[in-house]
Amino acid sequence: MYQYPKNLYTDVRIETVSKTNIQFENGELKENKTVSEKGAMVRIYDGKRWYYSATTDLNSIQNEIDDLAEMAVPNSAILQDSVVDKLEINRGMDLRYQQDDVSLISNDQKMALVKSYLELISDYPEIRNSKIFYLDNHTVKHFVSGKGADITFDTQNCTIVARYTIMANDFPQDGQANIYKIRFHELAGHQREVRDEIEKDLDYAKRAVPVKPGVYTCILSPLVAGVFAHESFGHKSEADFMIGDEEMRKEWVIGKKVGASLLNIIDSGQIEGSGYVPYDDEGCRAKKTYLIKDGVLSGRLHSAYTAALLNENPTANARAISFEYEPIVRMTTTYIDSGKQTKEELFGEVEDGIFIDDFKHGSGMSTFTIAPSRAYRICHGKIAEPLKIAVITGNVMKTLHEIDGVSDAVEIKSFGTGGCGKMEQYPLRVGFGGPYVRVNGINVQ
Amino acid sequence: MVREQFQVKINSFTLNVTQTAVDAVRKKQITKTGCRVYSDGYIGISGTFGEAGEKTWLDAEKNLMKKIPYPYPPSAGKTRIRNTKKACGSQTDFLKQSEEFLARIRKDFPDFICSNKLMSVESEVSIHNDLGLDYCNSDQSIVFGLVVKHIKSINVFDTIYSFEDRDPDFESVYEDLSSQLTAFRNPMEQKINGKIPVVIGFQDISGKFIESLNGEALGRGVSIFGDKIGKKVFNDDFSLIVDRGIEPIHASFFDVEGSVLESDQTALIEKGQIRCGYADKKTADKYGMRNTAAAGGEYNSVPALSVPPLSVLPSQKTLAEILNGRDAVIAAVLSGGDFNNEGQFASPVQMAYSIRDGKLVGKLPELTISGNIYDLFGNDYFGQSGDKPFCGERYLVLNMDVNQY
Repeated sequence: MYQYPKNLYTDVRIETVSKTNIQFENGELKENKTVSEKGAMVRIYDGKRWYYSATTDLNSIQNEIDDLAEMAVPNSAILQDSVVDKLEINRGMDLRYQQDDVSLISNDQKMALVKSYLELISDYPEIRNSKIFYLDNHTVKHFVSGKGADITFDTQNCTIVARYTIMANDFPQDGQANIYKIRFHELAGHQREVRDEIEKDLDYAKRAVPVKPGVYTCILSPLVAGVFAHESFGHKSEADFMIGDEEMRKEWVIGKKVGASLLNIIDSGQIEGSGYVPYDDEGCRAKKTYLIKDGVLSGRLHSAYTAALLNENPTANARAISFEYEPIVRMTTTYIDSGKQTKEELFGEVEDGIFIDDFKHGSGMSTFTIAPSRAYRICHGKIAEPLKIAVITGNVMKTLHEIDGVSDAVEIKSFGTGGCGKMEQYPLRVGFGGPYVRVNGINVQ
Repeated sequence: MVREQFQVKINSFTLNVTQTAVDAVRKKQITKTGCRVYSDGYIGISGTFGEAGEKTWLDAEKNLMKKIPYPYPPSAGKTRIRNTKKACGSQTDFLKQSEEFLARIRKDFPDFICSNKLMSVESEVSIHNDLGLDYCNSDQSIVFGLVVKHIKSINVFDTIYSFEDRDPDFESVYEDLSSQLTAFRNPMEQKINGKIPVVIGFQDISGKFIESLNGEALGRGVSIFGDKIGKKVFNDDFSLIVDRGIEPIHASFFDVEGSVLESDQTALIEKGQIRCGYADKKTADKYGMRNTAAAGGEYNSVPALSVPPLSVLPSQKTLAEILNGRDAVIAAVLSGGDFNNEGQFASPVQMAYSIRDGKLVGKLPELTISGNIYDLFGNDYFGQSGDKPFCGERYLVLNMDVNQY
C-alpha cells in the first residue's frame, strides 16, 4: 500500500468522519449540517525522535511519509527498539456499526426526532433561553504500520442535548439534559427523562440558597464520582507525566497504598459509549486497567512510548482528538467500582453534609476542583434544601483516603458534547461513572 | 443568489518537549473552506478540506432546501488585507533556537523538568463574496507552552509557562521563565489569610462577563447584567472592549459574517458603565443591539453568536506602579475556579508566587481566592497593568479574599 522507508518505523492513521449537527435555538432552526471529512496522520520514528504530519490530502500520504523520512535518521536496529517492540501488530476489520450507520439515516428522520424533543420546552415558561441539539458521529479509522498492523474499525454515537436557562428569583440558572445512544432508533421516546432533568433544575433554581463556605462530608452522585475519579486520579495515572522523573517513579510505585481500602478505580476502552476505543490510535487493542485496586496503586495508562520507557505494558490509551494530532496518553472510560452499601445506607449515616448531584466542569492536578450545577444539603440522612456552590475542592492524595462509603451499583455516563482536555487536545470524548461515593473533608465554597 | 467563501488556513510546525528536550516534530498544513449561498432569506452551506470545487458549491445550493433562516444582508463592497506577520526564520532556525533555549534551561535549571510544546503557527483567514467583500487576515506567532515540574515534586506538574509573540526574543523569554523558576526555588511558608492584592490574568476570571454580556442572554432576560445596561456598576478604571485590533494574536479584524468595527475596537463596558452586550447580525437585529462583530463558528457552520476577542483596557501604570509598594500574590495557575449564578467567584490556585516591588520573590503554598464580581471590578479593582511583566501578558490587580488551607 505504502512504500515504508527502510530502517524507520512508520504508521498511518486515516480517519473518515461522518457527522450531523442539527440545532434549534428558542424554537428556530439555526444549523442543519451533515459533514463527511477525511484526513490522515503519518508518524515516523527513528528510535530517538518522532516525526508527525497531518494532512487532508489523502493522495499525498506517500509524499508525507517520504518528507518525514528525510528529517529522520535511519536506524538499522529500529525493529529492536523498545518502543517499536511494544507496538502491537493487530490485523482485521471491526466494523461494528456498519449495519446501523447513523450517516445512512435521512436528514428528515433526524429533523423529526429533534422536533419531538423541541416541543416539550414550551411547557416550561420559566425557561427563557433554550437550545436543542441533535448530534451524531460515525467514524471509521484505518490504521496501518510498517510493522504489519492493518486494522479498520468504527465508533459511533448519537445524542439529543437540551440546554436551557431558567430565570428564577432574578438569577439565571443553566441546565442541560443529555440523551446519549449508540444507535439512532434508541434515541426516540426519552422525553420523560428530559422533563425530569428540567423539573429538577426548576426546583433547584427556585429554592437554592447560598452555601455557608466550609469543610463538609459530601456524597457524590455516580456522574460526579466519575468526574472525581477522572480528575483526581485518572490524570495522575497518565504515564507521560512520569517520563524521566525518578521522584515520580518512586512516589507512584505500583503496590503503594494511595486511598481508602474500599476504593477501586478502573479505566477501560472496552465499554460501549463515549469512551469506547476498540483500538487506540497506534493500533493497540482495548484493555481494562485497574488504576487503584482495594486502595492500592495497581496500574497506569500507557502509550507504547511510555510503556517502553517505564518498562511496563501498553494499555491502549494512546489517543488523539482527530487526525490533526498525534496520539498521547489519555483516558477512555474511567470509573469507580461498586462497593457494598446501599445508596440509602450511605446517605443515612450523614448528619450534616452535602450531596453533589450534577456538575458544570471539573479539573484536577494536586488539587481537584468540581463546579457543581446542582447540590443539596444532607440533613439527618435525608436530602434537604438545594445549595448554590461555586466550587468544591480538595487535595487529591488526602481526599482519596477520605472516602468512607461506596454504594453497590455503578452507572456509566456518556456524552456527545464536551470532553476531556489535555494541553492542546480538547475535547476528547471520554466516559466516566461510578456508584454513589461518600467523601469526608471536602472544601466547599 | 449570493455566493460567499470563508476559508481558514493553518500552517504549523510543532516541537514536542519531553524532559526539557525535543523528542518529536509535527508539521501541519490544513486548509478548510466553507461555501455559503444566500437566497430568499435562507442560507445554504457546505464545506471541504482543501480548496472548494464546483461540487462544494452545488452542495451548498442543495442545502438551501434545508430552509435555515438567514434574513440578514451579506457584508458587501469592502476590501482589506491585514498582515501582522513579522519576519521569522525557517523551521530549521526555529528548531535550532528552541533546542538552544531548552539546553540552557537544562543547564541552568537542572532541578526542573519541562514538557509539552513549542510551536510556530501561521494563520490566514479570508472571506469574499459576489458583493465585493474581500477580507484577508494573516498572522503568525511563536508559542511557548511548557509544563514545568520540580524534580522533587510529586505533582504531575507544578506550573505552566506560556508565552506567545509574533517575533519573540528568546533571550527575554528565557529571562522571564528564569525569574519564575528562581522564585519557585524559594518556598515561602508564611500564611496568607485575608484580603490582599491578587495579580491575575483576565482570562482566568472572565467567565461571568462572557456569560452575562452575551447579547442573546441579555435579549432574553437571562443575564445578571440585564437591568444594568447603561448603568455604572464597576470601577471608573475598568473598561472591557471587543478587540479586533492587532494586539490579540491570530484574531481577525472581521468576524465570520464579515462584520468589522470602527478602529477595530468597541467598548462593552466603558469606565465602569455597561454599554452593551456582544452581538452578531442576528442578535443585533432581533434585540435592537449594536453589531459588535461577534459572529463565530466553524468554517462550514451557519455563523452564530460567539465570544469575540475581549481585552481589558490597560492603565497608564505598570504593574509595579499599580501595586505601589504593596505586597501581592500572583495567581499563576488556577485550578478550575468558577462563579455561582449570583456572581460569587472562588478558585483554588495551584501555583501562586509572592510579589514585592513588582518582582516575583517566592513560591507560596496552595491557596484559594474568592470575591464577588461587583466588588472585584468595583471597589476592589486596582487596574490592568500597562506593561506585560510576566509571560508576555498584561495582568489585573484585584483585592481578593485569599485563604490557605
